Amino acid sequence: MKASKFKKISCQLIALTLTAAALSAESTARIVTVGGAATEIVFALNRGNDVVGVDLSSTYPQAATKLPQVGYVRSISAEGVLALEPTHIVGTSDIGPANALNQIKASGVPTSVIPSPGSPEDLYQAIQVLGEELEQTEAATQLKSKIESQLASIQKLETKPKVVFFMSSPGLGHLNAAGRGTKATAMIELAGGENVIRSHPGYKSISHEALVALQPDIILIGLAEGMPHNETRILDGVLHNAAWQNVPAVREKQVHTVPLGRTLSFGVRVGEAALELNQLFAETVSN
Amino acid sequence: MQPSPTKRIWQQPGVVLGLIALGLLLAMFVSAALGDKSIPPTTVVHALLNMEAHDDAINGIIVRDIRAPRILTAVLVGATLAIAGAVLQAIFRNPLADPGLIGVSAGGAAGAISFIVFGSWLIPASWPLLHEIGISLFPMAGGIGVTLLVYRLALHEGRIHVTTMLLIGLAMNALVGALIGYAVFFSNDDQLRDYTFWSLGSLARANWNVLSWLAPIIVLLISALLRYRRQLNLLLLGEYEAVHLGLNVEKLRRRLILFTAGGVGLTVALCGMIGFVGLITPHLCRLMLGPDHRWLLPASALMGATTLVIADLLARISIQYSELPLGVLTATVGAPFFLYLIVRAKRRASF
Amino acid sequence: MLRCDNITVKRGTRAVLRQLHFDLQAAELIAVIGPNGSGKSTLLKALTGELALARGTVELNGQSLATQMQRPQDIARWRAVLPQQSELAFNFPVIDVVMMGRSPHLAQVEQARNLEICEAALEQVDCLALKDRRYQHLSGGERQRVHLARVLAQLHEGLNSDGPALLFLDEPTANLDLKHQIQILHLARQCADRGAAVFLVLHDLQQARAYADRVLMLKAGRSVAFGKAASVLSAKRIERVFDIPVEWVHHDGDALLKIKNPNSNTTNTTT
Repeated sequence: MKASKFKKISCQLIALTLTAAALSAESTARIVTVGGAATEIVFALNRGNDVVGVDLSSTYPQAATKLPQVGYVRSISAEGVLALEPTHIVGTSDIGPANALNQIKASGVPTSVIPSPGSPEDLYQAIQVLGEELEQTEAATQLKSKIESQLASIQKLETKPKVVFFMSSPGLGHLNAAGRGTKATAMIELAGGENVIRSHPGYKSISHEALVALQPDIILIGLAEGMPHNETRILDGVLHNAAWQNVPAVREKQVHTVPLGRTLSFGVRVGEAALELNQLFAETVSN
Repeated sequence: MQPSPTKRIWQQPGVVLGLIALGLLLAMFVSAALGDKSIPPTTVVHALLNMEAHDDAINGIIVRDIRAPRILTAVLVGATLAIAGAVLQAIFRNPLADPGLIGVSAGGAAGAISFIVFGSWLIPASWPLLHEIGISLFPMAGGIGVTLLVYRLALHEGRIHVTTMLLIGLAMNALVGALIGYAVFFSNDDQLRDYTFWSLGSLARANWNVLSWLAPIIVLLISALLRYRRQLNLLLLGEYEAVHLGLNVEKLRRRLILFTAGGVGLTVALCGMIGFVGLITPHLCRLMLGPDHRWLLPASALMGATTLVIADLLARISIQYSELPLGVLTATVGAPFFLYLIVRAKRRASF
Repeated sequence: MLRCDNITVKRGTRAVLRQLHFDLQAAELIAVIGPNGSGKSTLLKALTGELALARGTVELNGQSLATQMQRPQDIARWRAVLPQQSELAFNFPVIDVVMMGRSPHLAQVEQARNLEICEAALEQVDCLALKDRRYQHLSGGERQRVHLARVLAQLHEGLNSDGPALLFLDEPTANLDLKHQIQILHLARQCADRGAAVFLVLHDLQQARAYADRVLMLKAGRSVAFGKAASVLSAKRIERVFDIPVEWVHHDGDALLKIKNPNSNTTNTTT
């Protein structure tokens, strides 16, 4: 325990020196990051100080939200990006429109596009690629092992809890539920649960009746960060709905809100998010 | 019809036309210099003449590969929308006709969305050329279809029923809303975001490749429409009056609708719905030049181009490093102007 | 010039004109009269090609109208139509409106000459002073006269040479004061005297008798009588068709229409 702690500290020291070296060597580096995961990784690889612009979907870390914004990841402005005079552009594969991306690439500024992560494996690969490109291989290895160890500590659950995931909407008037192939499903499975909605791909509205039929053990409601939400009202709306009183999740008060960016971005916080959900699932199953 | 000697020099149509053209060139140049990055005029000129200085590579790229094709697309799209507005106003003999308001743009959008949503089922992905053609043809067909529909339904005994005309526009916009609804249902969130941004109108898709096929088509369409400028005057007298003055109205109208709605559909496919340019610019030109289409059509084309170049400049610079959707901007200015026209028309009871 | 054989016109399923025969010669003015709803304007629309015939044929110069309408640019050089009301939602200068009448001739006649013709036409309708005014600033009567100038300009060649000219006027006096009514009827008469065939829809029986060579009287879509103005417009027939007792009073060679009122001695002449 003590040894590992020492190792960790020494690693961090090395990383710090490396960062300092990199900083002094590339003090003129200007990075624009487009896409939440890209921004998170670049910041986690200690290059946050070089980031001069981000897109709207970059909500973490806090420092990123204070930077100039070049539009939403799928509709960035090529001129806006280039006007920041970047020396490097890092984006997730959602970056668009295609025309803007082509124009940026044509400008000759080195542009890295990582696949928008939907699984830990995607994330590891993205971290490794960016670690090499940003000359932060050490930090990349470290970050990767940190996430790996977090994910390794997830408990395997004998009985998987039945989960549904809704995007928040005002008063939950319509239930926008995550289906097959969504990051929400991937996250639920990563945390040891099971998304009971398999009927559709993507996010679709389901009926109030469907919720009764599906009998989920847990209801998760994703809230976008940085927007005002009345959490109590959203939760009360579900818990006090007369039609759902015999739905296990409602009966047992297993209705929770989760921050969307952290839970679904499959960024550097994926380990934390999965662990948290895993704990929630474990408690539910044991009850 | 000849410029009468009492007119002041700045009221001469030729002079007005020249001034608008000058304004357009000025707007294009300013637009090439301004943006997220202000670029000195000399650099703009150098970049445009391809005399790129090595320390200014980024500026060169921004001017030549991002702003220039975009400004030229704004010129073409603005000219198309404005001349289409002027022509539709003549066909419908009503100064309130606008490709957006009477649903031509919506028809184009409906065509585009139907193709995006259903085209991928009908055409195998291995035929990308067919997709390229479809995405241009469907909006054109949609625009033409709606214009014909409006004409059929709103024409009663040789007169256009304004309310019907605007209600059809309303219905078409609702239909497009419904189609986007289907698109929402059948597509993932990212595609949905794409539709939304596209329907708000933007020139972000402009590049030299797009221009290389768009420019010849639009230039042909506009020069074809300009050939009918004298006939359009006769059309204003009314359907039968125009026939009695020797016009083959049926044939003329078919062509005009084909050209205007086709052109509008094409711009919708490329840039989404950009409203009110077709309403406002012919109006401004009429204020300056009178209703004679021999001057009105070229003036509208130039003025529409100027308007869209300026609007796009505002869309680009109003939020630093990102852009406002262009259609949102034109609607913000255009909708109040439309209300003003209605109030004024109501006061005069002239439509 | 114009022959009309057994024509029937329907609006929907209802026949609004039945089995009409008549002909119009060059240098002749025919007035069509009849009570409201008798089909006068419908007949004019059928003869100008605006309404389709359910039965029968209309011939212009020995050729069927339908065939000729396929080339409107040819027919427009010698046939003009003045509708009851022309609308123009756009604010043209008056001279431009009249100039529209010259559009069938633009290819043959040079611009300066066309302008002269238009100014002459405006002078004929007493509107030359309005030349540079905007159309929408004109009164209803002025607009009507400007449109008349437009059709006169259109027929200029036919009216001033031996070429054919055919003029349709649909109640051209409707919006005008007495002076301008008379002026327009004079102009129509002049056109006929200069060789044009003039077809005139008219309300006023006295004016019809004074200006028309022949009169076609309609009632409920049927021809009641067709022939010399004086004989068609007999007091008896007017009484029967228009349902009002009248008599003609002759004064200084003019025929005045007097409405008989058995209950009083006052007399009334229509205008």
